[in-house]
Amino acid sequence: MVSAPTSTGELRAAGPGKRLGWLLPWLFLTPALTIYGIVVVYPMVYSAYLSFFKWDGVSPTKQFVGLQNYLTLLLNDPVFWIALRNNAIWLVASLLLPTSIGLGLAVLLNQKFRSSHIFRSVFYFPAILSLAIVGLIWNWIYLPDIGLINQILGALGLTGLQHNWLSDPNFALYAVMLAATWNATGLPMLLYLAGLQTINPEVLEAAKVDGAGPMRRFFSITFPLLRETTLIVLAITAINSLKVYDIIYAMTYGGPANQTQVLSTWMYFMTYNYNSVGQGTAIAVILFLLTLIFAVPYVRIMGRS
Amino acid sequence: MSSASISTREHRERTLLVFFYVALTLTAVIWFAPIVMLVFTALKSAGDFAIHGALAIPESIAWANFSDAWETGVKDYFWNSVIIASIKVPLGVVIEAMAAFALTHIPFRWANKIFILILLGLIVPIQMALVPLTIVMNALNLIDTRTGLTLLYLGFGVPFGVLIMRGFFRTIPTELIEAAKIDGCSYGRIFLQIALPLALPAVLSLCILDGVATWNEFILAQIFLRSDELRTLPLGLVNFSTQFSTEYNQLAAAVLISLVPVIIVFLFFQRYFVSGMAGAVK
Amino acid sequence: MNPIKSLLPLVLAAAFLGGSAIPNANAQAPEGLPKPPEGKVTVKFWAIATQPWKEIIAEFNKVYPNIDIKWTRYSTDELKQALRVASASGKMPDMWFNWGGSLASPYIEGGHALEITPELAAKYGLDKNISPVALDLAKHNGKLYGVPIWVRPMTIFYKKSLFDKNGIPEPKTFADLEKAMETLKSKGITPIAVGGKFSWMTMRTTDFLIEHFAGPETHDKLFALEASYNSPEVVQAFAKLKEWVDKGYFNDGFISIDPNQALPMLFQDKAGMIFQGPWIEGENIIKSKLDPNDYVAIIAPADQTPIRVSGFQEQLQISSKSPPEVQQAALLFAAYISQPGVANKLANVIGTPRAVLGMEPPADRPIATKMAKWIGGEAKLYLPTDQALPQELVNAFFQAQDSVILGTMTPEAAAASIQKAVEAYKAANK
Repeated sequence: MVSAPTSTGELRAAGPGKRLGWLLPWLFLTPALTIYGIVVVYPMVYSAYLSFFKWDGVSPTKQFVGLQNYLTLLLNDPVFWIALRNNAIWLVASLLLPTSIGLGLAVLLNQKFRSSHIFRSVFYFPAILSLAIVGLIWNWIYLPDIGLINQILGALGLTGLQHNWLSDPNFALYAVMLAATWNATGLPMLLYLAGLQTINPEVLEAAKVDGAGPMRRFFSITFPLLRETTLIVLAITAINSLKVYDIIYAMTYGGPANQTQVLSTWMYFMTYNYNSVGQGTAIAVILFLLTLIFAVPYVRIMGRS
Repeated sequence: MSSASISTREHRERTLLVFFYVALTLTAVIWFAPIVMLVFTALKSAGDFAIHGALAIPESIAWANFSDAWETGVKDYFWNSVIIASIKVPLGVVIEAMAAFALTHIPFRWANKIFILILLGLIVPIQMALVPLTIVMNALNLIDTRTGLTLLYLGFGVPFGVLIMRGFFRTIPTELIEAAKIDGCSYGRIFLQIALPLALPAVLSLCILDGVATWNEFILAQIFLRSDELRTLPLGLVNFSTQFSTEYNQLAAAVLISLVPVIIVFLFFQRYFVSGMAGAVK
Repeated sequence: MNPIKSLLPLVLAAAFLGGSAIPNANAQAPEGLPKPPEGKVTVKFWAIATQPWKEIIAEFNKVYPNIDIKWTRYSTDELKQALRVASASGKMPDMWFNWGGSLASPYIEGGHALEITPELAAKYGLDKNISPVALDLAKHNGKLYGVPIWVRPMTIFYKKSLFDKNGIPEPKTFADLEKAMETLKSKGITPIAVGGKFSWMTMRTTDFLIEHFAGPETHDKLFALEASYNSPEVVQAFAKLKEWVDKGYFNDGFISIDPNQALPMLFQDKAGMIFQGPWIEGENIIKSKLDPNDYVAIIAPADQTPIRVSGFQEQLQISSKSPPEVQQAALLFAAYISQPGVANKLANVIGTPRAVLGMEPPADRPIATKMAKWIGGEAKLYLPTDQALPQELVNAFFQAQDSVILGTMTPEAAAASIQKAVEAYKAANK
């Protein structure tokens, strides 16, 4: 663990680069920070600025409207609330499903048996697919007539369960979520596998000898020792789930009737389909602030050395 | 405890284990089924998919699907993606490692605050940045250029890359660094000759994750690349699916071709994966 | 010996003698067009990927070899987005394809599109060659900001062989249409194929229903925001839409199906009708080696007078900020392909109906031939909702339409919701 000293006196005591001491870290940081500043930081700030204007994105003039974009969103835009609700559902599902499935798979695959590598690759494979491809594949799976799911249900005689999965507003979001989970489980699984490596196997052996069954061993020893990993998995999952965009865009385009909109797709619609850049960026700012709430504990832990 | 009760307990544990592994295999089969479907579809001839359904084994193997898909569009976009990924990934890893090194092993006052600023970048939804980005890129004359897109990818890759590299650099004992400093090594040499080599697993994991992400990136490419000659593979696939909307077999072939490099990289580097990620989770 | 030096006297001689050493240059330089700009000019051109610009440009280059038109291909949504991004960053192409109405107006009002003044129109022969119907659809506040290339009526196509096989006559009235749909449904064939994922394909049916129930005059007033959407006629239109959905007249789960997947249903005899436009003749039917005579276009029977059909024009807009030679080159391109002689020659390539006056549609294009007659006077055109209404209101319309289909809004609530959005829009844009 490295602690960041607070006085430059310590720096002078060190050997290298005595005179340039204060400059040195900046030399290392400059390339990354410059590009990051131009590409990420500046647009963030400018976006927030744009959210106080009414602008169609095309005309050379913008009109200052203060907080009106925010008010319109919160008071006059039912789709905003649908999107917010969908983000909440998506968040909860993401925090529960891919994480716990990933954990379960990691525990099972951590045992040293011969084909564990193959299993690992199989389960991780969907995670290397781009979400556009995932959307494409699952669109085919969900096709009403020739899609895989309805065909299997039909073959099993369960024609009553066949649905138009993506056009039914009750199912559409969950249908997309299934596809997303298929893709999203890989990363938690991998992170947990890494975390499991840090657990000393002798502790588990001792517990086994003492008579603890696999369930006891898991819940009393393994899981508590994975606390930091779990924290990171949850934080990364939360942050990514609030940003969800590609797969919804590809599979349902926010439909039907805007029922599967999430904040990032609705933001896109506002800006590019409905000529309302001000409202689009306002949604972005709201989304950013919401994500910040989840990011703060994570950032604090990571920042703490 | 009597040996009899130990062996029944062991017996029970073993049956439980067997049960789990059967379930695991079954799950793996179901999990992989969509990919199997994709492969079968790519091998089918035009009418086969509609007539015989998704999971049916192809009647005859239509290898022509692959060459057709390659010719009609994949090949142009394929190389663009290769060029961009092979420049962006190494460059990105280098600047991120440099930044992470500074944040962990070069003591200075702002380290924490800068790290937090960088972490915040993980939160920014790309859609938020699109309109201002077009203005910035235009001012720099970088719209519709490979350089411009690479720059964008670099910028958005900084948070995650710095996170992973920092996690790993933190596992390098300070004593090692101190010893090198006392020996008179400059930070530059420490970075190149000690830190980086030690962090090889993390570097490789980052290469994989970043490479895959760059290969698959869509929205920035869609907005900032115009000319046909420059388009990357994900754009090409989307174009493809518009033009060949119900010719699933050709589409599936195109998708599979686009996966080949990813699979190769993945298989090649995967053994480093888990140990590389270990840094991030500590 | 330097090859260029040895050729130079030859070139000079040829030029002096009034020809050119370069073969075919100005071979058939058309009359009535101004001279092309000197030297090599590059025109950056954005248009839809599935359009046949490659062949058109090749034809153009036979006569004007030193004008290089660089065509970048986009899908429909990509083009819309690319244009917006370009205008925000000030990097518009020199020439671009655009629709009309509220899809084109931002670029006009933002000052990006070159105005085709009457003088320019005369200079390039556009006033003679472009049909008034097209000009009418394209004009914005009475002024022209682009060169119309195509006029696209959107209407019902039915599969003749399928209808004949099932003894269904060609629908001539609204009642006929409903009867045809009922018969098709009873035979297990989807009456109307739709891909509703992006809402604009469903809109074609909705527009037709509004035209039927509200009539042409009120429909126009609705577009102008002068009549209220919260009216019995609009409610009836939505109610009829819902009725058709409930009766299964559209394909299963259509609301999330990609538009590209609708027409193949007719190819496979799984559906009998579709709301489409004339582009399917070249881009889909003939390309798939099918017979265009089997896909008959009829004016969707709204039972109203005057007889109207939904339609729009597509134009080439030219950047007001490009250098003059480039603008001239672009105008030359648009004007050249709008000349009747050239248009006839290119008819099969470009597809019709063209906005060009005095064109004879090719014999092997029955759909285009028929529609040319409509444009020529048999029917009037009205813009589709997604071009007639401001884009901010299109959202409300799509949402209402789709909610009615899903059953999450009653027709009354849907109509009211559109009007509410109209009122808010009017208040915000006083």
